[in-house]
This record gives sequence, C-alpha cells and structure tokens, in this order.
Amino acid sequence: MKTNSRSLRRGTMAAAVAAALAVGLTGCVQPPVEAAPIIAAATKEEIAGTDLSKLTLTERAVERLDLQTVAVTVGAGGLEVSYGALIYTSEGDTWVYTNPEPLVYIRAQVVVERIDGDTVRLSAGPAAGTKIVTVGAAELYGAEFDAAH
Amino acid sequence: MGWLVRWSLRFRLLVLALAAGIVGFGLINAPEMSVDNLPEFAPPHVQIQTEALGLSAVEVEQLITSPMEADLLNGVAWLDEIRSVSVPGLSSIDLIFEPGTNVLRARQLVAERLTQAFALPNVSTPPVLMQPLSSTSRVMMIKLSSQDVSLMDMSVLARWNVKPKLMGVPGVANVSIWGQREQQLQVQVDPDQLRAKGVTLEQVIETTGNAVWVSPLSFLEASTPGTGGFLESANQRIGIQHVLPIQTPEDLGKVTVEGTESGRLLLRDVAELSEDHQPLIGDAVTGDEPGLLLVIEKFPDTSVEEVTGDIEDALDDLKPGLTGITVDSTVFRPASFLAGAVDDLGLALLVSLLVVTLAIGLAFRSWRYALVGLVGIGLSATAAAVLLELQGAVFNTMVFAGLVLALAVIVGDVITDLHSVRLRTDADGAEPQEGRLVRALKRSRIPAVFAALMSALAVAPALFVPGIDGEFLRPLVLAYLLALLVAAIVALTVTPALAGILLAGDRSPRPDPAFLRRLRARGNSAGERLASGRQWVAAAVVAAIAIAGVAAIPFLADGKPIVAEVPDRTILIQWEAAAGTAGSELSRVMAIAGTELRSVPGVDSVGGHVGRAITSDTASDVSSAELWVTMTPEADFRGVRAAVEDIVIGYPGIATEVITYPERQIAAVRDAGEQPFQVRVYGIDLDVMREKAEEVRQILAETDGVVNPRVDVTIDQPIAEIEVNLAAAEKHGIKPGDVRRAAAAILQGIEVGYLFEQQKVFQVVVKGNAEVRNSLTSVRELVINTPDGGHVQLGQVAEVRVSPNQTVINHDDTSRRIDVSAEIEGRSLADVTTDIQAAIAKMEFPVEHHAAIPPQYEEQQASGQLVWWLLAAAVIGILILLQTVLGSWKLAGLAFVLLPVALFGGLLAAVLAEGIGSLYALIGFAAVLAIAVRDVILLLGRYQTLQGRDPSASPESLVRAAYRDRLAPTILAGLTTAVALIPLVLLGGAVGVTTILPLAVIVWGGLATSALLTLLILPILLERFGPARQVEWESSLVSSDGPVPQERQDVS
Repeated sequence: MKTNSRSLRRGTMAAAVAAALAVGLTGCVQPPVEAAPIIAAATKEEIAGTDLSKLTLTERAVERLDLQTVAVTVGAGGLEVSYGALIYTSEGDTWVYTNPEPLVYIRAQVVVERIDGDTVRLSAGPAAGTKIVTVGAAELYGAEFDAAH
Repeated sequence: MGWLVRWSLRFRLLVLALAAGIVGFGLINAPEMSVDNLPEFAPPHVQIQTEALGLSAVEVEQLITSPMEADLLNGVAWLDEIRSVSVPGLSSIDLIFEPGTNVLRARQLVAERLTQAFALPNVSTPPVLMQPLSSTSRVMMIKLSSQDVSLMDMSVLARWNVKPKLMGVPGVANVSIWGQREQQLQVQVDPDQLRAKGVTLEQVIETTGNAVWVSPLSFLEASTPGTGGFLESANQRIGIQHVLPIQTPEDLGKVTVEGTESGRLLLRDVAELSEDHQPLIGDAVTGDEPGLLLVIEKFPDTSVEEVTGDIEDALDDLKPGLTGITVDSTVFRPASFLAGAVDDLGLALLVSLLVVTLAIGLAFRSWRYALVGLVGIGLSATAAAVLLELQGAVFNTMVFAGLVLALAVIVGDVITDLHSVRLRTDADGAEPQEGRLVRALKRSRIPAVFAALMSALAVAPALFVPGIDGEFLRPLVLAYLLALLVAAIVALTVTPALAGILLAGDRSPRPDPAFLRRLRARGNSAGERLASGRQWVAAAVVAAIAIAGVAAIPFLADGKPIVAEVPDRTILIQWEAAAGTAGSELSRVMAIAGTELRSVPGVDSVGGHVGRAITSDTASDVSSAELWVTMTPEADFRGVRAAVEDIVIGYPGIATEVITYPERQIAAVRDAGEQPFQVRVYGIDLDVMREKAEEVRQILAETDGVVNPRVDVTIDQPIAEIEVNLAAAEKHGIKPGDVRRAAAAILQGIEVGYLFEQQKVFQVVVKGNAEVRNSLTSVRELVINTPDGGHVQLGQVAEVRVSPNQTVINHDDTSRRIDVSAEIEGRSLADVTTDIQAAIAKMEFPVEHHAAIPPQYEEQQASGQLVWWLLAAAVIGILILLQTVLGSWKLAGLAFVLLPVALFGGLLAAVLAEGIGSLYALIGFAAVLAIAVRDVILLLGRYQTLQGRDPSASPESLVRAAYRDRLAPTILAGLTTAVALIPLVLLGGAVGVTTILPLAVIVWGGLATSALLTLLILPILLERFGPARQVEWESSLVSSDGPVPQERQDVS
C-alpha cells in the first residue's frame, strides 16, 4: 500500500515536472535545425578600390546557365564584341562580363560606338583577346546586383 | 430530452427507416460530392486587365491605369479598396469590395462604369473585366506540343478551336494561352529602302490598309468597308458579296502602292511580306518539343473533379482535329491529387470506424453494443456530410478537419451513452425498458450536450475572425458544430430506437474483459488513497502550471499562418530574373532547369511558362517565370520538395521561390489584406516621393516604439527614351507627334487592317524589319519622313538614351505611393500614430504630395481585438453553463479553473511535436474542451448523485466512490478516441499527415491531460476544497439519475 501511494505521488510529481518543462519549452521554442550550409551558386567579393565585384560561380552553376564565352576581337573600326555580351544598366551604362579565369567573372565597362546586327563596336573596353560572356550575362548581372527581387 | 427519446422508442421502426434512408442517400451521393483542396478565401473582388503591348510601365500608368482609376472606377458602391499594378504592357486594376458584397452586383456596377472606357487614349486593347475566379483558380494546365506543326499554326488552333471549346465547359471561367503567337500578315519595311524608292511610310500604311476590307484606322477609307447590296430583278432579289482576293502575303504584295506616279510600283517592291507573329509577352516551357501552355481557371465553388472531367471530355472531342499535336493534360491537374486524397481519407474513415466498433465490441463484449455504437457514429458522420452537401458546400480539407474533430468528441460521447445504457441494464432488469433508456440517455447526454455547448461557445469567436484566417476557420468550425448537433440528435433518436430493438434481448451481459476488471480493481485501491497527505499541493501546483501554460497559447500561435502547409502534389517554382531580362534568355534557362528537374526521382512532369499571357492570372513581365513540377502519386512530397529546392538554388542570378500553388494563392491574399504598420507617401514625382519616404523613415526611426522602419524598394529597369529636341525638329519641319507615330509604326508596328477567313480574324500589320528594331544604333539611324517630303534620321531630331524606368508601379486608392513599413513594439498604436502624425504635419510637401497612415492597419488591429472580447465573453459563458448544469458555483468554479489542465496536454503535445504551426489547429482545443467538460460533468454528476442518495456520507468517501465509478468508462472512452484518430493520420495520405496530424496531436495530448484532470487532479482537489456534507443538489441537472446503480464490481 505504501509503495502504491508513493508511486501515485511520484506520478503527480512527474506530471508537475513535465508541465514545468513544457512551460519552459513554450518560452523558447527552438527554431528548426538549420540544414547543412549550401554552397552558394555564385559568391560575390567586392574588389577593393573599385565598385566592381568578383563573381565566383560553382562549376555546376556554370553548367546550369550554360555560360558561353568568346574573346574580344579587333575589327576594322576597333574592338568588337558580340551583341549578346552587352548589358545596359538602368542608368544607361554599358558593361560586359569578362572571364579572367575559370569560374570567375568580373564586370568591365565598355563604351559602345555603334551596333551593327550582332556586332557591337566599342570605342573603349577590355583589350582584344579578353574572354567575355556572350550567353548568360543577364544572370551574372542578376547575381551581382541581386536585383531580382 | 426525455420526450424525444420516448417518441423515438415508440416509432422506432420509422426512425430506423429514416436513418437507413439517410445512410443510403449519403452513400449514393458520396461520389458526386464537390471536392476542393481549400475553401474560397479571397474577399469579393473584381479585376480589370488592359493590355497595351509595347508601353512602358510608366506610360501604362499614365495613359491607362490613372485615367481608369480616377475617372471611371473610383467611388463604385461598396468599394473597400482599389489597387492597381502597372507593368510594361499591362494595367491590372483590382477592386476589393466590402466583405459580404454580392460579387455579381458589384460587377454590374463596375461594368456600367467601364462603358466609358472608349474615351481612353487609343493605345491599348479594350479593358477586360475578368471573370470571377476561385481562390485557387487554376484547375488544369494543358501542354500542346509538336515537332511538325509550327507554333503559329498551333496558336491558331489553340486560339480558334481549343479555347472556345474549353470556355464552353461548365465551371471554366478563363483560358489563357502562354506562348500564343497571333498570326499576322506583316508588311515589313526598311526605311532606307523606302527612301531609295521614293515612298513614304504613310503610303505603305495607306496602301496596305486600303487593300483589305476592314481597317481600324479611322483616317483610311477602309475604316468604312460598306456592304454589298442587292440586285433587284422582277423575280428575284440577289445579294451581292465581295470576295477578297488577298489571302497570302504574296497576294498582298501584288497591290500597287498608293500615290506612286508610275502606278507600277507594287507593295512587294518596297516591303517584305510575310506571315509572322506579335512580340511575345510570355512563352511556354514545354520540354523537348516546342509548344504552348493552356491554363484553365475555374469559377468559385465549383467541383474540381467535375470540371476536370468535363475538360478532358472536351479535349477528347477536339483530338481528332489536332493531328500531329500532343495534348498533355497532366502538367498541373489538382483533380488527381484530390481524387487520391478522397480515396485515402474515405478508407481511413472506414478503418477508423471499424476500429472503434471493434473496440466497443471488445470492451462491452457484445456485438449488439458494437452495432449500436457503429450506427451512432457512422450515421452522425453521414448525416453531417449529407447536410453539408445539401447546403451546397464544397468539401475541402478544412471541412474535413472539422468533421474529424467532431468525430473525436462523438466517439467518446457514444461510448458514454453505451456505458450508461448498460449500467441500467445491469441494475434493474424488471423496470420497463423505455424508462430505463430515457434515464440512461439523460444521464450521459446532459453532460455531452453541455460539453458541446461550451465547446461551441469556445469556437464561436472564430466565426468572427476577419480576413483570410476567418475564411479558413469558418468552414472548419461550422462543420464541427454541425456534426456535433447531428450527433446529439442521432443519439437521442436513432440510438434509443436501435437499442430498444437490439438490447432488449441482451438480458445477461457478459463479464467485462480482463483489462477493464483490472483497471477497476486498481481504481478501487487508488481511490482509497486519493487525498492522502499533501497530494493536493502537488495537484494544485500541476494545475497552476497548466493554467499558466495554456495562457501561453496566444503567444505561441501569434503570427502563425492559418495553414502552414497545404498538401499537394505539385510544386511551383517562381523565378524572377533581374528586371528587364529578355524572355528568350529566361526561356533558355528554364529549358535547362526543366530538364534537370525532370530527372529528379519522383517527379512526373515539369511544365511552365515565362512572362504572362493575355487575360492570365499573372501580371508580370517576361523577366519572371514559373515551373510547375508534378510528382508521382507515391513520391514523398517533402523529399521531392527538398530536392527541387536544392536544384533551384543552384541557378545563380535568378531569385527563386519554391512553394505550392495553394500556398502562393494564400500568401497573395494575405499580403494584400494584412499589411504591417505603414506610413504611405503619396505623390506624382517618383524622385520627390523617394526623398520624402526617406524623411519619413527617419521620423519613424526617431519615434519611440517603432522598430525596423524601412522604405519599400522600387526597382528600375533600363528603357530607351526618345525625346524630340524641339529646336532640331523645327529645323527639319517635323513635330514630336510625327516622330512618335513614325517610330511607333516602325519599331512596334501598326495594325492597319484585318483579314477575315475561315471564321478566323488575322491582323495585317505594317512594321519595320528586324534590322531596324535591333539596337540603339538602328533606332538613332531610323529614317523618318518629314511633312514636307524630306527625310531625317531620328537621331538628328531626337535624343535616344537609356534611362531608368520603374518596373512595377503600384497604386493604392488611385495614387502612386511608396510605403515606409515598420513594426510597433512596446507602445500603443494610438500613441505612436499621434507622434508620427504630428511629425508628418511638420514636413513640407510639394503640391500633390503627402504622407498619411493608412487606416487598414488600425482596422486590422481593431477587428482582431473584437475576437478577443468575444473570447472573453465565451469564457464567461462557459462558467455560466457549468453553473447551470452543476447547480453550484463552487463546483462550477472548481471545474472552470481546472479546465486548462485538460487543454495543457494538447499544448504540450503540439509543442513537443512541431510547435503550433498553423492557426487552424487551435480549434483542436475546442474538441479537447468538449471531451474534458463531458468527463468532468460526468464525474461531478456522479458525485452529486451519490451525495443526494446518502447525504450523511463524508465527501471524501463520495468523491472516492464517484472516482471508482468513472475510472473505467473515462479511460475506455479516451483510449478509443485516441485509437480512432490513428488510422486517419496513418492512412489519410498527404491530408492525414499535413492537416489531420496537427489536430490529432492536440487531441491526443488533450485526452491524456483530460484523463489526468478527471481521474487525479479534480478528485484530489475536490476532496480538499469540495462542498461539505449534506448539500442539496436540487438545481443540478445531473444530480439525480434514478436508483443507485449496482455497478459490476468484479474486484478480483
């Protein structure tokens, strides 16, 4: 009988402890455990001294966007790039994305002289031979400015 | 109550026949029930869309949205809010009406206003008053794809054959075609070539327009085509009809250019003629084969399955005419999910019913009792469903959740009934059956009815919750209450009728099963020790903690969505590239992403669209896209969703969101209706507004009680502006309007006429060729005619430059605005508002600009407070009901104060499981309340009965006796209820896991603490604080239930 009574009391106590625990829990509901950090598809590092950034994409991201690059060429009237490489900012500035090393993309300002069909003639821009992005520049622009919101 | 039972016993056959009829009706009608995932949750609203292909957002606002809002639509009766969004090429105005407005009457008023829309500048197609749509309107997405048929031919078929047929299906409100290419007969000119030939653009426009029958250009003769007339002979009247010899571009090319001197210059000599399409405002993402995407939307309150079936029948009819085209109706087909869910839930309900029947049969060791229980529960559920259906309700997850909650209460009620009936049977075999049944049911039903009443009081405030939350809670609560009501009626009519027939022959009940006997034995010994020592202190501590815990519920639920996760089989990925990104670029990436997503295990199909379609449910530019990923029926929803999220995040430079369609629709309505605290800067000039918004932000930052003030971002995109230099223009004798018209005709094209053939209409368009529309350079070098017959390059008379232009322009109450949002913490809204208003009053604004605090936030707060007041009233009502049934303030007060103990288990379980993720789950506490109140009243009623019988007995002994009597039935009812919910969660498929589980968790926890309350804490505290000896319980409704029952006391 005695043991039974004790067990009953213990039960009450256990309930009290559980209740206290719950009140404690309700006070600080744990946020769900963070998933393992995902490597961002594009990482942006500011380049000191300029307002440019260095975009580093993962190999998979380059594949997914199917980024294509072509070298800047010299035509009859000067530097030439493909129209597909050209990006206008809303302020009217013109840029291309260079690809100095694999997976790394850096914006470079260009001055457009004229556009003929698919060819853009530049009066200023990256030196001939510089690899620039001709397909997927819009996404790089989006990644750099995070404007897509 | 008694008369109803007596009446039912007298006419038992009639009652049973009626019951059988209801069950039969329910079973026959079950397959035809209207089913949808969610209730209709959008406020009454009307949408007006105006397409103006080629206008920038600013021009759309200026030329279309503002005039329509200010002149036509503002001030329509019952209008609550007017909101609009202007994006490149589209103005979309939403009129939101006061809750409860009849949409059809509202539409009529809007339509009357719209008759004046012809006065708008002629830059757009006529405004379209969109059909009323369901909250989750998309009912199907159909992919048309082909290797052989060109997209333009497919578009013609889709526009003129498929769409009209589908629009004719009952329940279909709208069909929009993504990727539709309007077939046009295009006359493409090269201004340089025109100059070389000595022909002006106007000549080409006039020639083309006048060559065909009908032209929309009022300055051409073709705007008045004339009719044929008759030949009237003496005998006959012969009608005259003209036959247009122009059907192909070649035909049109043979027309002589108007005004050319030689008369020998043909149209084909000065322009390229071809069949082509308009610039796209969106496109379909269809995978390997090029194709189109048809999105079909339904009216409110229509049955998804029925509409889907009818659409598929219509498609089957169409298929013979669509040779070479693959028609795929599985891109998004919610009916598949719903059909699966209905099957799962039906099976789960059946299993649950069988489990309960089995449990009753085992506990009472009698198939007769099992049958009475089965009929009581099954009939209640069926009758409730039939009633809901007769009301025209659409079954959805919320209604189902309400029924499940009611089931949790009803199962226990029915077991209590059976237990009560059986006590009588055991006690006195000699008494007439009718009197015994009446008393038995009174004893069990008075507590059950009062419990249901209190539960109803507790949930009633939910009916007054404003906004989208209320739209979700109302069907749930109404279904719950209806089912409880039906169950009470069934218990008082069918149960006695059936018991009268079945149990009459059950003279010698079998002994209780072993576990019940053991339970009772333990109860007897435990009852003796109830209040030994300081038990009551511990009990009081538990009660105090529980009460404090329950008070935390509002804080836990605060800010939670009404429904956190909506079960579905389709995942929706929204993509948003940088503003101004080309549609073709997005289409390219979407094709890659679609292929990758299709390879995910468990994914059945992927389809989607870029941009928007005409009269679609999307108001976006081509820089956004959606991919719809449908998974196979057996796929794990959360697993696939995670896999999809992993892939999607790997696409840099495009913002993405992974949700489901219902979730997006809920979020859209919620965001529109529930705003944070805002100060709104109204005005005209965007730069001034941005500047003033920043000033307001600083004011907010300095105001006490305002946290995290922020200016809503407006996004710019590049746009090429053409601004005529008046001085230069004057030199060339050209006017700005000439430049705009010439540039518009060349760069965008001008619709000069229509071809009517084969019951279809095709546009004839004059526009510049692709090279002229290529770049800033080509625009600057565009040659335009001057009025005096000369030529000038556009760059010579106008500046062509790239400038920022807003991507999206939102209006509230017909005015441009920028919001400064913030949170209010630590101070009352009224004080903060006063401070801010004083500060704003000191600001200086230019004319037509001002800042104000919109009233919506305050109204939201106020309507939220109403619910709290109602809840407080309900709490008082519960106390009064307890007093009424128990006839004692002391007992009622004790029970009232201790009721949170029962709710606490539900809270504890919910927190331990996942937390309270969704607001609707809170209704689960109402079911727990009903269960707890019933058990508590049964215990206290038993106590009162015993005391009334033996007034001199000590309260302690009475409490113990009551406790002993109630122990087994309480635990039996609780266990059976808990078990009844298990099949619903396990076999209920996605709905079981996402919608039912959160409720079941609360009920399970609540059942545990409800038993703890009834069988431990209440008896202990009753002994300590309960009434003294020899109390009269005359005013109690549960104190006298006939002679003392000799309950079976198989103490072994």
